[in-house]
Amino acid sequence: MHVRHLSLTNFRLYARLELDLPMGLTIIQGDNAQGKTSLLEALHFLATAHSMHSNIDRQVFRWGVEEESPYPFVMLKADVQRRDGAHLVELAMQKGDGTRLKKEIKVDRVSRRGADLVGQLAVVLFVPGDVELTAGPPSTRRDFLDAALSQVDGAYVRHLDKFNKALAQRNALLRQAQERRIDPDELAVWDDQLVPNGVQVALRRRDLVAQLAQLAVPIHRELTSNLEYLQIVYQPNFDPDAPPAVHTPIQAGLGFAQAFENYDAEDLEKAYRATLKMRAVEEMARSVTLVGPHRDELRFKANGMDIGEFGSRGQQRSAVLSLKLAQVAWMRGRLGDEPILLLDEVLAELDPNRRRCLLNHIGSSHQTIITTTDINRFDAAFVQSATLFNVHSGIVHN
Amino acid sequence: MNKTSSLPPSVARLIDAFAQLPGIGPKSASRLAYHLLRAPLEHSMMLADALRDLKARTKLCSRCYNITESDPCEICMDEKRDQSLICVVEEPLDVSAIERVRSFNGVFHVLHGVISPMNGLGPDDLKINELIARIAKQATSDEPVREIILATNPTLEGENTAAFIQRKLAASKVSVSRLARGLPVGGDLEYADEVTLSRALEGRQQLR
Ligand SMILES: [Zn+2]
Repeated sequence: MHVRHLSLTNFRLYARLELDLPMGLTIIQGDNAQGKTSLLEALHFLATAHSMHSNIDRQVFRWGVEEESPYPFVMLKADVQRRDGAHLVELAMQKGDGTRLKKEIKVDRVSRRGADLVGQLAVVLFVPGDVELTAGPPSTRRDFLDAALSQVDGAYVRHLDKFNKALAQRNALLRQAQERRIDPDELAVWDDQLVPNGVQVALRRRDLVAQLAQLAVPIHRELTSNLEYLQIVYQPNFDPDAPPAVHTPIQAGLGFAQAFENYDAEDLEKAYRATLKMRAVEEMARSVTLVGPHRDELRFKANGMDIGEFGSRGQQRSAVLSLKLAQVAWMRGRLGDEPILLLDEVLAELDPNRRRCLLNHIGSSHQTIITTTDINRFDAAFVQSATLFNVHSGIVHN
Repeated sequence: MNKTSSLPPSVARLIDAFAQLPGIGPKSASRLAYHLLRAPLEHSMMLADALRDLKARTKLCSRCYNITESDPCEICMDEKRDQSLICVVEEPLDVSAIERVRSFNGVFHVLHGVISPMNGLGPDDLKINELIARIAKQATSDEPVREIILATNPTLEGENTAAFIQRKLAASKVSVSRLARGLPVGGDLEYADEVTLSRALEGRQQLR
């Protein structure tokens, strides 16, 4: 698929932008803080907005817009050309009184709910900070899984949304337990929402990781000149085989991940409930829900060694690149269409071998948008094949 | 920061009062206040009377906890209604919505909210204990409760509240049913159209 036209109002530093985007390769050049990354972010936001937490939503309003209008709004519009034809995807947010934020999503001019955005626009974003995916906090890895799944799986969006709401309510109830006696049924009814939705989230993450792991192996071999065998391991927070007491973030061996494949929703619900029961006292004492996919982990291993813990910066970078390229292949398979590739300053930091491999893999994409501060970092032939834009102070020049 | 401080105290007071209402922020509150300032005097007097009567004349029905001017309310006192069939709703407005349909011939029980720990609302803050007491009391009468229809909204909190009540009634003999799907998920009963609501009532599912 590709975006033919992008229209932004009050998004980040763009007061107004109307931009025709060509198929194939586009390079956007500009100094830092001029708005080139915001362009990629706008497309990513439009593709994943329904999965994001609302506190992110508020940050995209153009700075100073509140002084200009009592009810400021942000609007993102994309004309998307897909296998099944041309579509218009729109997302508008308006600040109301107090902390209210009204969000409206339209597809082909018809109002839709958030989950209906799934599959309308699919992107894979590469940013320099991605290298933190292996070694950074676990939440960055869960965010990666959420962003990937929420672009292709509407059911995932609904289950995750219900899970998060039930989790917030359950945590609030656990905090109240400090002040008043709680009826066991009060907790039990939240568990009845938490468990089935949490299990669906875990099952879908499990299947995603299994497929990504498989797709990533040959890519990673290519990236490392056959030196490394990459394993991507999903570690669910509740595991039928691993009692919580020995459940450490870094678990040696792949044995249980293999076994985890064989469990169905019913087994996992049992495991989830058993783990909740086992940690009930601790949850009460700490006033927080300790069991569930909000505590899942994802680990990367090269030849059996944990890359996040022990890998070099170069190894971490390669693992993330393999993961992202596997995501591209996975989305292609799920959507029957090519996702749009957004590369923010990534090519510059790659060595020639990794760069060649990346360019090989993005060759099949219908649209790739690359940002850079310095066009001279690319060779002439590469620049020749691309459409060039310059960005300065939120204005895009051809 | 108080933007109303430079205004005449009587105007500022009204704006502050409006701004405390749900869904009304400082900007809407100012608009309403200035609208009344420009409108004829009778307009303001009518509003003032209505506001005074609202609290002075109304109370909660001691049986169903709907808002009423007479206790028990007209619905509870209506002899043509089936006292053994109780429809449990979140808010008084939901009673009006179901009454508009005219196909329901039972009585109501108004919870006055849903369980939501995030909003500081637990079961004891709602009329759940009152519902259980009502069923127990009626059990010895000549018209014991036969069926409870849980008609809370199909939101996460509404579903959760229905599940909680169902657990509390597990030991009793009454049958418990849930309003059928077909209502928009996350939607309010209050806004459901009459055909949808009527179908939801007829197609209610017995939970046990
Ligand atoms: Zn009554």
